Amino acid sequence: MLSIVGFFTLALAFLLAAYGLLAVIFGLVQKTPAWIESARLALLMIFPLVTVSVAALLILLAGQRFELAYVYSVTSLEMPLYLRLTALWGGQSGSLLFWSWLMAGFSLFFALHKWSRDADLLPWALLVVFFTLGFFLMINVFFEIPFERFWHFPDGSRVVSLLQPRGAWLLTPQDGQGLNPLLRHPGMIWHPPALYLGFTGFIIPFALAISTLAAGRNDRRWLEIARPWILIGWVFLSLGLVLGMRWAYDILGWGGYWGWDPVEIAALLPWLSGTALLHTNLLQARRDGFKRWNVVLVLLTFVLVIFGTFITRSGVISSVHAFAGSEIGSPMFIFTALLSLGSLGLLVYRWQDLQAGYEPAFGFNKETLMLFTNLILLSILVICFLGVIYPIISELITDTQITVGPAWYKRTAGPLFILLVLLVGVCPLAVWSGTNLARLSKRLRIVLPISLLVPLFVWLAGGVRHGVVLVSLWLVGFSILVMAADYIQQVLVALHKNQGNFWLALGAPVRRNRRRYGGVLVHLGIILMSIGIIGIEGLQQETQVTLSVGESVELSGVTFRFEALEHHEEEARWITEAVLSMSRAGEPVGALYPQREIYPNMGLAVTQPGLQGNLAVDLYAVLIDWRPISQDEATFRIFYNPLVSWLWVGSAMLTLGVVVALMPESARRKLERAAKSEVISG
Amino acid sequence: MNKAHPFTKLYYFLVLIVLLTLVRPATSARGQASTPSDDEVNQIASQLYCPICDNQPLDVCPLEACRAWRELIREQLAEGWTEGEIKAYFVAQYGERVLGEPPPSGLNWVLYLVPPLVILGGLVLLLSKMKRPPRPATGLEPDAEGRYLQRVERDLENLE
Repeated sequence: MLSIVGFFTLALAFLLAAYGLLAVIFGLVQKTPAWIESARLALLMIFPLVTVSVAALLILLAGQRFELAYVYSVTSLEMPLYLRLTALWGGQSGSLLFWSWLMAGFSLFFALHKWSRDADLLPWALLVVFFTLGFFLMINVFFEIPFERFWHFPDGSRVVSLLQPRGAWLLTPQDGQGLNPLLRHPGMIWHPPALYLGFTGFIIPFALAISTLAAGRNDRRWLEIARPWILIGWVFLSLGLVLGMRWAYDILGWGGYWGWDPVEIAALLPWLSGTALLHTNLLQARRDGFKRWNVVLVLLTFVLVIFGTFITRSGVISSVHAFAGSEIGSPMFIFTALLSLGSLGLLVYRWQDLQAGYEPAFGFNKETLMLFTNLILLSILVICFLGVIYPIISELITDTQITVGPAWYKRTAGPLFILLVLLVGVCPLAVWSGTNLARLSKRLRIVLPISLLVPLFVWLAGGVRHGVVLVSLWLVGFSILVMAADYIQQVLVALHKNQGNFWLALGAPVRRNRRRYGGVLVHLGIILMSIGIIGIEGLQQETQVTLSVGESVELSGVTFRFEALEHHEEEARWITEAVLSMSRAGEPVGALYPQREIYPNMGLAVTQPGLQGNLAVDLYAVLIDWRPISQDEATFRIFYNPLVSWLWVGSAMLTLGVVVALMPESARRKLERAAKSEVISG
Repeated sequence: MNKAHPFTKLYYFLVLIVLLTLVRPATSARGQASTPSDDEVNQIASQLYCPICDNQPLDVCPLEACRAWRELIREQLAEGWTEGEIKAYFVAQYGERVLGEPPPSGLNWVLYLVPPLVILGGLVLLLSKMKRPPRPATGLEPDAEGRYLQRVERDLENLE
């Protein structure tokens, strides 16, 4: 019964989306506001309906109703409640329903926003939302139905169907297959929701951009409305990527967090264009320029979201043949093509109307630096896109399957990432418009010599001789010092104004300009994250050895001693755990417990690396193999991963930055900003 | 994600066993004393991809077949094969998909030419769209509008 309720509400939501689409088209053709209002009310109903459907599936997952094919495939009796609930996004059909639910939630914005100033945008925005949301609901209603049940016939044959086939009985398995153990890690539990929030959140800027184009407007109103949503989408996308990295680091057991896998890159692509958008959005807000560029980036970001969803869910990444066998491959391909071509067509049609009449002047100023940042981000985007798409092209044209792996990405995109760090560093030294070389040289005189101490220290104290690492760490040190110098100067000014109240002055710059210092914190987060990346890319050490109990191996000054190998059974899994004690110069520094878990019911084995880390270094060991009979010999892969923790610290800083940037401003500051933008555009 | 059909895996495994048997006699002929370490094997295996999984480097692939392939690399190293010879052997057996970086030949040139062209093209486009920096003052006083704009910019700086 609950499964029927779940499906019925989902089908009703789909019908409402289809009705809404037709009503908007009719309203636009007939110029009848009543039809648009009717469509708006239909949109208002979709979210509650999909919520009921999601709630029904959650109850079925929690209640271990294994007669449902989806519940059977992603849960089992031994799974705790929280894992059964998060299995909502553990499989294809459930995760698509979850995706539709989040998108329906964001779409509520269009039904609830006060459109009095922008009534001409609403119909087109509704058109985009109904088209996109309707498509995903359609996939859930016709192709990937999470409410299908098992049925069996008297002759022993079985089918999966939503409704009871004639002459069939409901089949209820005793236990389910259970969620893939690889997906039971906190990183993987929260990675999909964060990523999906980021993906679906971009529906708001996308629909606003399309509606601005379609309504023939060329003002920056759409961007003002979209700005917080771009930031929200971007920060969730960033968090989703970082959680995915943490999962890969903790679970996959190859000592790294980013494998340049096409699925990872599919999520990175919209992040790159979204990051570029965050910068040019600022330029349009200040200079009323870059109108075309902002529209291009918003459309590109959402098209890349849909493209990523298409390539990861249709099987096209594995092989062209897998795509042909996928049920949702063709509809997703058609939808992606329609969305991309429709966006492109509209953009070309309105291109001339988006003339900004503002030309940035080349020089050492923020405009130039932001445009160079955009160039680098988009070059990385093209490289990543090429890397993902090329194996498919190669298979189609030459029938040769090829792999584009990390070595190619590092060679082509690696130097561009280093340039990005440099740009983040020098940006606070630049002014808006013109070139203020006096200011630049004044700052450089102090910051540059101090920053050179960073590579010198790493050379002398850390013994690092890797040229790229030294240059990268110097850039990192330089960037942090520039930001610090800028902040200290602002604090000194505030200190002067506040007659010496240090604590008040310390927070004054952030209080005065939350947007700006939110941005500074985000940049600081990116710089801290790059420390982690430099550490693992340039300084990682590893070795693979077979040790007998009592034997030890040394790696980067740390001695790893194999103490014992233990076996135990726990919740339908057999666990083999090794104990590696560690010492540095004879002093004990802790122990690692790498494990191999075997899930006999699922025929799967999962590696759990042993990990102990601090801000300086992570010590990381993987249990590769052991002798089943004597059990006194085992093979380990041991990694010495310097600085990697900064990746997680940086991501927290980045999130904090976005929160600061989104905090409401004081009335005074708002007035100042309004006056400023009037001066500029006037 | 599509998994290879069990029979395909079995087929590859059988091919591997046959190959191992074929290679063995040559081993003793070229024979070398020391057994290569796991690190030496992984150094090459990390540059190769599992021929039957999707995007799984050979050094971390947990499949039995991959374990056997790593042992094959160890044997080849023991026989004195070079890194290039081992890679060429895997390409000949399983196709170009085992290489993490496609060789620059034929259509693959796209992978090596497009990135620099994109960066250069973008740079040219960007610079062509920007105004040239104003020439340094030639002794003439900026006009009233110029002075006003300078003041506005200065005020904006102070506002920050």
